[in-house]
Amino acid sequence: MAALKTIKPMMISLVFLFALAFGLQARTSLVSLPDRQDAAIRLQDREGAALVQEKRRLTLKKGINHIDFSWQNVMIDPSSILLAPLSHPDKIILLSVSYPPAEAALVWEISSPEDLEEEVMISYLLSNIDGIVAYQALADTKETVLELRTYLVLRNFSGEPFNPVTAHTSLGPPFTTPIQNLETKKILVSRNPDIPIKKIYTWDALTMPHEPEKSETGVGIPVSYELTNQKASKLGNFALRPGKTRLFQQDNQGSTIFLGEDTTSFTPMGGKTRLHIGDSRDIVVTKHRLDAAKTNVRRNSDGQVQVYDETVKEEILMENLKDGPVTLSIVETLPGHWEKVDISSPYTLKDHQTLIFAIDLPAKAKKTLTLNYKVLNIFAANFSEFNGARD
Amino acid sequence: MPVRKKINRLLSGVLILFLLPLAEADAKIDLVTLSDRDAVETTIYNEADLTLVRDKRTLNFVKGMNRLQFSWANTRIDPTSLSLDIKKDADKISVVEITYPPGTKDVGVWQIKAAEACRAPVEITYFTSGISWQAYYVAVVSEDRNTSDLKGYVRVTNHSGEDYGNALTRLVVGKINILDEIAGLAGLDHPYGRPDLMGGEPERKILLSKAKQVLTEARSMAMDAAPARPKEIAKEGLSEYFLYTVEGRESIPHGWSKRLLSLQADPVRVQNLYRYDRDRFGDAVVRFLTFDNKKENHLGETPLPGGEIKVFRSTGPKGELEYIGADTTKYIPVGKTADLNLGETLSVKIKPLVMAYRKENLAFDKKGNITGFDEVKDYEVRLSNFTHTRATLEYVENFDSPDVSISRISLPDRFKKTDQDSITFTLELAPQASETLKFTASTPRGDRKWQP
Repeated sequence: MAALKTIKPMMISLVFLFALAFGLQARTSLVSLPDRQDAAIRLQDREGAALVQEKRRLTLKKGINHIDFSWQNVMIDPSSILLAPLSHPDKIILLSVSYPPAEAALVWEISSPEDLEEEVMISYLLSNIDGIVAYQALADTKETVLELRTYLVLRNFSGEPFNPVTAHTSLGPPFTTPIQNLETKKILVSRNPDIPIKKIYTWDALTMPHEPEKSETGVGIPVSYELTNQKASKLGNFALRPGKTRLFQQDNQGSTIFLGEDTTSFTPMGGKTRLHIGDSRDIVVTKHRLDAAKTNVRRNSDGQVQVYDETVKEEILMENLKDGPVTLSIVETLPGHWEKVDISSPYTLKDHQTLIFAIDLPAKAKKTLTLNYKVLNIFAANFSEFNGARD
Repeated sequence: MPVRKKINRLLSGVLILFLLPLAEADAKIDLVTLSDRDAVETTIYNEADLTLVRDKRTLNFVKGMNRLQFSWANTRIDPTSLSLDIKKDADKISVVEITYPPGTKDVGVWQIKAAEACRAPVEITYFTSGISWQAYYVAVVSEDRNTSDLKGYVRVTNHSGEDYGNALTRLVVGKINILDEIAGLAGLDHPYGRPDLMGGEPERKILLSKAKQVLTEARSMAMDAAPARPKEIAKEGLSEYFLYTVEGRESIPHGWSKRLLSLQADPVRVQNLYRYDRDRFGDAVVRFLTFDNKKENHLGETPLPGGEIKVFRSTGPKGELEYIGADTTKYIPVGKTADLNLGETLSVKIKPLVMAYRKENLAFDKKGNITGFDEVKDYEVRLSNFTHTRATLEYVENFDSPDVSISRISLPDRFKKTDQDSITFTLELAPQASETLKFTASTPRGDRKWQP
């Protein structure tokens, strides 16, 4: 084990410090902290900090022992530092922890009933070392399955080298690797082939342009792959942590193309995640409002309009210019108190105002979705804030 | 390091590959094997500054751990994209990890475990920025303006800092989703940023001065054997994208551009369309040249990538041309119509005039206060074609109220209510012909909009 550069005992100088601070007694001895024997790092599911656990062997004398733990040029959360005796937990008593002023250090006061060699576990939260997740996916030519490679990117900017360290993550079994200060390492932790994927085209009336023909640049419909984190889908060994996912596809030349990248959202086991690969400009969706008639107008005694209904007619034209069929998800938002008059395709309600239509569009086909609905009880004056979306 | 300099010269490039035994890990880098590229493939995207480079090499591995160092300088490679795949004996050889060593920049070191000493082909892939391609079209419209000869080109430009000699060149038409600019990732001091710097954002600076230096370092262009004919470009649809593969191999040194013919169609039927739409173009007639991307029009095999198009008109048998205008097309899917805006024109006139204005159906409340009325306008639209060819004229009017109603339409078969507040008239006019359209627009104002 190489000597520690930054977390180390400061025995010599502190002998005098403790002599002053504690007024050395006959049965009190100072114990220096020896080199670490074994280090483990538990990477959090968040960026920026990790729990380090290291084993050290202390030589304790009968009576009170003071153990100094100090660090330089590393960021340790002092309140996170823990010491646990491993060899004789029933005999060793941790009496107190002292924090010297203006120093990155602490002193444990330990009582030992006899002279002992004690293995202890020291735990602390160390900043600027973490493990982020990156994924690489390769879809087949037909876009029915993909292989997902999960990488752990170990970033050590903590100021402390580890030669080596056993890393524990939520991504699978622990592994041992050296990692130097200022070093970044990318390690393949799992490779899951044949994960079924569903390709989804989504046109959301709230966010997409309604007249793409008038757009100066080509309008693309977002295209995503959906996959399920479950055993039946060749996944489901652990929750998918958020991370940049780069997606590729096999081509017909024995090579691959890059499809795009997205951030995988946190996906618990059993959950679904969608990865936006890019946009399709071969699906064209145009929406027009043809009519919005005001009906059932109610007035007050002064003749002022108080409440009315609106009967809306809209049409959504969908065109598939591709050589193959697609399923297009149309998301339509109808805020407020509305009721259906005639809607030409079946839909599911995501919530009271969000309608989702799954439209099968054969190759080179055009379809029209007509929406005829009434928005009821629109307040013309007071309470107009109740006309829109109500969560 | 003299060895390194020598390698640099040998490759005449800036990518360097070392295979190192593990035992040398802590020693100075010693070169064990340097393999030349077997082949290189570049897949270039046009809507993102991104090129996927696939570098194929054959390497000798010793039994046990092998270290393979990949380093680069003055190029715009995204280190997080580095990937190595073993293409043969993958059960005997496995890539354990890639390390970005401390105190270095533009270096990645793979740890590769081999069950036995062997020789195996590998593919190293990475993203670089600085290589781009654009589509570019030239249309020569016939004298009668009814057809056009259309040529499409792709122009590849390499400002990546690296020469890609003898490379299989593939171009992707498509709109990919990108989270970070590759040029930004290439400029980071640490490939994945630092945990203490909020995802490394402050480091995401593009090294402009470096890029400028790279841009000015044009090198002599490799001399390719002159082809006897223009190279073919094979086209294939993949996912939502289109892949153009240039026949054979291309050498595009850093700093150079190359233009290749990608499409030739003749004759393509074109339509001369003149539009008036005050909301989009102001009070002017704008000339459009439209053509369908369809098979019956000698097109329609592939979508047309967006790009600049220059339109000329043939004015004589000896190649005399007249420049008509230029536009930038957007992506034209198969089956759709390209709509080229060639700018304002005076040779077709579309002039809408309000010839009568009335306030009708005045409404009052119980106290006698005015509460609303109908605003009625009689429109007269005068259309004239001063050109020498038949022309299609399109007049669009957008109203300020969805409650507008249109009546007394003079040419109802030319009329379309596009949506609740806009209308379109489309008609064809012979050369030197004129026509007048008439209609009445009635817009309820105030309380009148509540009354049936």
